[in-house]
Amino acid sequence: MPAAWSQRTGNAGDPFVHGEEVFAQHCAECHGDLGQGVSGVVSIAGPNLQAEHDLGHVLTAIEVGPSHMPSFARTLSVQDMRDAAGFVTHKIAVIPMEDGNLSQGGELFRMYCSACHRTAVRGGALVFDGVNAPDLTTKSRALIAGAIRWGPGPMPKFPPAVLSDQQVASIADYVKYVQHPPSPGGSPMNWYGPVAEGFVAWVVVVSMIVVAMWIERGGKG
Amino acid sequence: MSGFPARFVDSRLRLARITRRALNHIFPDHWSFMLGEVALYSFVILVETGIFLAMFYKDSTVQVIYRGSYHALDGVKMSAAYRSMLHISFDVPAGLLIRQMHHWACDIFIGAIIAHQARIFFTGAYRKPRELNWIVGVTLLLLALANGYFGYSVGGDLLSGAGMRIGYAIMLSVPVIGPWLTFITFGGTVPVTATIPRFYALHIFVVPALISLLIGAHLWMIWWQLHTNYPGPKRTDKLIVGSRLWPSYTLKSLGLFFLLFAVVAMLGGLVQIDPVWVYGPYNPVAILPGAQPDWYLGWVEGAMRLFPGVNFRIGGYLVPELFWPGFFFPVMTFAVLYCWPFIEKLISLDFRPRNVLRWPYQQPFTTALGCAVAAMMVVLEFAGGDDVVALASHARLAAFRELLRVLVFVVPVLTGIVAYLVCVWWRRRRASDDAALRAGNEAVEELTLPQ
Ligand code: HEC
Ligand code: HEC
Ligand code: HEM
Repeated sequence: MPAAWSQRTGNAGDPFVHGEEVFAQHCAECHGDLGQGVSGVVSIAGPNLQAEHDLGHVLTAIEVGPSHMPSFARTLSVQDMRDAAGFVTHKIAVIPMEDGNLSQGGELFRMYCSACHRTAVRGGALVFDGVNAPDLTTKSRALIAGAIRWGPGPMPKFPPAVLSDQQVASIADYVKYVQHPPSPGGSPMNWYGPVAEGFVAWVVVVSMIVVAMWIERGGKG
Repeated sequence: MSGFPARFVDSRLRLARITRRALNHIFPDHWSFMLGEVALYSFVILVETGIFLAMFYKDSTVQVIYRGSYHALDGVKMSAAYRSMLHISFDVPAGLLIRQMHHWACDIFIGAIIAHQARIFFTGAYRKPRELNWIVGVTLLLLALANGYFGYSVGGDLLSGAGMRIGYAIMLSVPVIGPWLTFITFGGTVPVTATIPRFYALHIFVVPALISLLIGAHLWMIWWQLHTNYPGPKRTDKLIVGSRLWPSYTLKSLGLFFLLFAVVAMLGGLVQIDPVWVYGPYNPVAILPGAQPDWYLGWVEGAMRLFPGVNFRIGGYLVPELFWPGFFFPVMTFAVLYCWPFIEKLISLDFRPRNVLRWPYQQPFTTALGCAVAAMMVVLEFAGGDDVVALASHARLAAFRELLRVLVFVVPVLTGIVAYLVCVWWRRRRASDDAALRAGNEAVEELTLPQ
C-alpha cells in the first residue's frame, strides 16, 4: 500500500482517516495516493482529482464509474463510499475552483490548449508518437482544472505561475461551453473542418454528374 | 404584345437573323458535356451570394472589441474583418445561410471544374483545334484556386490566419526572389495590416473579373469552333449531331441550374461550413497545427506534410524544404497541365484536327497517366488531412504518415497499370466485336451508339 496521506501530513486524528483508507485501498492505484492522477504509457489510468469539490459529483462517480473506472456500488458499503468521497472533496481537492470568464477562457484555450485539443475541444492527433490529445466533450469542470495543473502524459503542466486559479476556471468554463456549442449553421459534422467539407463537396459533384446523366435520359429512370 | 418592341429593336439592330441562327446552334447530347455547366452555374451562385456578403463584410484589420450576440467571444479583441464575419453569421438576417452557400458553392465550383477537366482530358477534347481553350481552361482553374485562397484568407479567424501564414512561408521559401515575392503579394511580413485589404480587392474584383472574361472567351471559342462529338453514327470531324439551343438545350440546362441551386441552398442551411466563431479571432501567438486548407489546396498541404525535412544549397543559396512541395510541385503541376496538349502531340504524332472525341480506352497511355495522377492527388488529399483521418480512425498519426509516404508512390503506379490493362482489354474486346459485326451483321449503326 502506498504511504498514507495522513502519515505524510501528520494529521493522525483526522475525521477522514477511514475515507483515506478506502481511497488508498480502492482508488489510489488509478488516481495516485494524493489524487494527483496516474498517466500510464498508453493513456490515463485515473485522472487528477484535486479539483473535485462537489461531494454529490464524486459520489456519483464512485457509484457509476465513468469511462473505464469500475463502479463501486457493489464492492463498497454506503458508508465507505461516503467517507471516500468526503476524503476527496475535503483533503484531496486542493485546487480552488473560482468563477471564470467565458470569453477570457476562450482566449486562453486558443493560446495554450488548442494546439493539441483544437478549438472545438474534440481532440487532435499529435505528430510525435504517443497518445492523441483526447476529445474533451465529456470532461467535467473538475477534470479540466485537474488536468491543467497535472499535465497527463505528453500534455504540459500549467502551474499557478503560468495560469492563475481564476484563469483555470475560465478555461474550464470555455471547454464546458464548447462541449455543446450553438451550431446555427446546421450539422457541424463533428467539427472535423475542411476535410469533412471537402468530402461533402465531392459527394455533391458526383451527385450532379448523376443528375446530368438523368437529365440526358429525358428525366426517366 | 411583345411584337412591337421586338420589331422596334430589330428594325434598328437587325438582330433577328443572328438570334435565329443562335437559337439553332447545335449542342451534342451527352451528360459529360454538362460538367462545364455545373462549374459555370456554381460560379453564378458564387457571384450572387458574394454580392450579398460584400454589403456587410469589412476588409479592415483595425482592432475592435466584440459586443455582438455570440457571447462566448464577448469583450474579446479582434480585427474589424473578423467582427464583420461574426456579424454576418449571427446578426444579419439570412447572413449565415448566404455565407455558407457562398463557401459551399466555392467547394463545388472547383470540384466541378476538375470533373469537367477530367472529361476533357480522358476524351481527348483538347486536341487540335481546341488547345487554346484548354489553356484558357487551365488558367480558369488556377484563378479559381487563387480566388478560393484569397476568400479563405480574408476571414480574420484563426484558421484563415494559419492559411495565410503557410502561404507566406511558401512564397518566402522561393530562393533569391522569395522576400520580394512576399512583399508584393502580402505587403510585408505576415501578419501585416496590408494583406487583408489587398486580398479582398483581388477576391471580389480582380480575380472574378478575370474569371468572367475568360469564361466568356472559353464559351465564345466553343461556340465558334462548335462542340466535339462522341464517336457514333454520322458523326465525323466535319459534322455535329445533337439538339438545338432553343428549346431543348436551354431547358435541360436551366433544369440543371435550378437543381444545383437547390442543392447549394440546402447545404447552406443544413450543413455547417467554416464555423469561424469556433476558431476564434486570429492571434499570431495562438497556433493551430494540423490546420487544413479547403480541399482544393489539400494536395499541396499533403505534399508538404509528406515531404522529408531536407534543406540544401543550390549555387550557394539555401533552398528550404518547404520550397519543393509548397512551390515547385504545384508550379510544375500547372506547367505540365498547360503543356499537355502539345506533349501529347509529341507522343501520338497526331497533328490533324479532331472533332470526334475518343473513348478513354482508345488511348491507353493517356488514360493510364491521367488515372495515376488522379490517384496521386487523392493520396495527397488524404495526407493533407492525415491528422483528422488519424483522429477519426484512432490511428497513430506518425505511423499513418509513414504509410502515406509509401502509398503516394505505390498507389499511382498500381492505378496506372490497372487502367492501362483495362483499356487494352477493352480495346481488344471492341475490336473483336467490330470484326464480328463487319462479318455480316446488319445492326452496325445501333451497336456502335454510345451508352
Ligand atoms: C481502474 C481505475 C480507477 C479506479 C480504481 C478508480 N477510478 Fe476514478 N476514474 C477513473 C477514470 C479513468 C476516470 C476518468 C473518467 C473520465 O475521463 O470521464 C475517473 C474519474 C473519477 C472521478 C471524476 C469524475 C468527473 O467527471 O469529474 C472521480 C471523482 C473519481 N474517479 C473518484 C474515484 C474514487 C473515489 C475511486 C475509489 C473508490 C476511484 N475513482 C477509483 C479510473 C479509476
Ligand atoms: C502538447 C499537447 C497538449 C496541450 C498543449 C494540452 N493538452 Fe490536454 N492533453 C494532451 C494529451 C496528449 C492528453 C491525454 C494524456 C493521456 O492520455 O495520458 C491530454 C488530456 C487532457 C485532458 C483529459 C484528462 C482526463 O481526465 O482524461 C484534459 C481535460 C485536458 N487535456 C485539457 C487541456 C487543457 C485545458 C489544456 C490547455 C491549458 C491542455 N489540455 C493542453 C495534450 C495536450
Ligand atoms: C471556370 C471554369 C470553367 C467553366 C465555367 C467551363 C465551362 C465550360 C462549358 C460550359 C463548356 C461546354 C460544355 C462542356 O463541354 O462541358 C466547356 C468546354 C470546354 N472546356 Fe471548360 N470550363 C471551365 C474550366 C475548364 C478547364 C479547367 C479546362 C481544361 C483545362 C477546360 C477545357 C475545356 C475545353 C477544351 C472545352 C471544349 C470541349 C468540347 O468542345 O468538347 N475548361 N467549358
